[in-house]
Amino acid sequence: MITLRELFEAWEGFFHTPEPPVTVAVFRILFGLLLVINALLIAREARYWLGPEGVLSHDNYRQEFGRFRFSLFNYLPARNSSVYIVLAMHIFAATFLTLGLFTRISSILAFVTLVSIFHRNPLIHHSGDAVLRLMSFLLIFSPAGEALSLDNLLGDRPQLHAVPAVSPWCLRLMQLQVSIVYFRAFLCKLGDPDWLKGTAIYYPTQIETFRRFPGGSIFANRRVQKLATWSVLCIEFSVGPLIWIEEFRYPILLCVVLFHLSIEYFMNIQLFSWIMIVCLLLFVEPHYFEVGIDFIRVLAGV
Amino acid sequence: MRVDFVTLYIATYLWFAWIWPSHTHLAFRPATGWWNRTVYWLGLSHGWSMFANPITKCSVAIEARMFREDGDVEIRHLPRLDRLGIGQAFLAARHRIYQVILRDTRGVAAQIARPALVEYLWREYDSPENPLVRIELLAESQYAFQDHERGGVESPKRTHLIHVCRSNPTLP
Repeated sequence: MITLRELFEAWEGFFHTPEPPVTVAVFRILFGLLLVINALLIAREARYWLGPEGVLSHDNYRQEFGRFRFSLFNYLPARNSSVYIVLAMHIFAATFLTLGLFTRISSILAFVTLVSIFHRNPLIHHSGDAVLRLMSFLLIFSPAGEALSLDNLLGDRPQLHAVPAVSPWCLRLMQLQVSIVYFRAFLCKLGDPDWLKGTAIYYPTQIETFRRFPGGSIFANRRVQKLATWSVLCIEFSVGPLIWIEEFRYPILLCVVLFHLSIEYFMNIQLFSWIMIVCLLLFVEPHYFEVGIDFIRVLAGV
Repeated sequence: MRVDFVTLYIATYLWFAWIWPSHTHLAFRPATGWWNRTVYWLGLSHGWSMFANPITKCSVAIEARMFREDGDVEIRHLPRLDRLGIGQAFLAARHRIYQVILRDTRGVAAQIARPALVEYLWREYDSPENPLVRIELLAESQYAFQDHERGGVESPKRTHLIHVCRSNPTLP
């Protein structure tokens, strides 16, 4: 049996035992880069997707979504220039986030502009976009700017990563969110006969509009199909509860990264795999990043 | 244990992150209740049924047939990823999401997306000299049959009408 006191102490230890904020700082850098790339991909067809005369006109947007959802477009004139202003603000905020310059304000602005873009046309978004929104929201509360940032270099104690340990409660929350994403995906798949029969992996790898590089025909083999389909279930389950067991963490992370790289090879789902791989870095202990950064500094002769 | 803002925030967020994905069927509906309204307003709505319930089993391509006053018919295809190179298909990947939504017969989103697309086409392609009189949206689907489902034949392409808009609703 566990006492209430022990439970509270476990909570306290899990969320508040100080650690260096290097993990969340590395995440901030890569996540910011993904936000920039994502915005540039949308900007290519900004008028078509987001413009007042685009596939979801400003009037349609106001009528269907504008009343219930926050967006800067609710307050800006219905012009193409407004679209480019919001996209430019988003790209600037994401760039500043990557550099760690005015990190807290940048993260707030990146979230606000990301949500504005999403709400302006919710008909073109996928699960990866939802991950971007949730993680950019959580990033606002994190100490992401306290290491590997210009904020840190320009501050009172100019250090790139040898910084004091802080309470990692926001990092833990981000890790839990990632864990919930996979475990929820696993639970959804349990309710789908194609996943239980072991045939599910066949379909997205054969559909022409998803297909990417050659080789997807291996999933026509029933044994390969079953092995791959059930492996996905095992991997998604593992990131739920098992990744929290220290001995399993890195083997699971390796499997999930390989899983996403194979998705990236076989299927065209834009940035989804990279978004998830960057999120998985949240589970890497700061010590490993510190060793990596020191190694890079030695190589660079800094 | 400290019972402060941080603890309350952690507890509330964890509850939300775990519970919310059960509400994804509401994704395109006006939210009810102050909690739902707040989550939608903030853009934190999410669901993780990735490739499940149901898994996508077919390619979808949407085309628009635009009928002009003089009887001419113009056909416009929305970008087809299967006909693009790897790089172009990567850049255009959101078109697939959009076309799947347009085809979805059950989705509330399609009821918003189809008339909005027709309005867009009308704005882009109407001309005073030879005005548009009707626009039809057609969805072409091709299922990815497994070998045992195929029965020796290539999976057929099926085309069906998903939306019609006329300049004069009384005309056929």
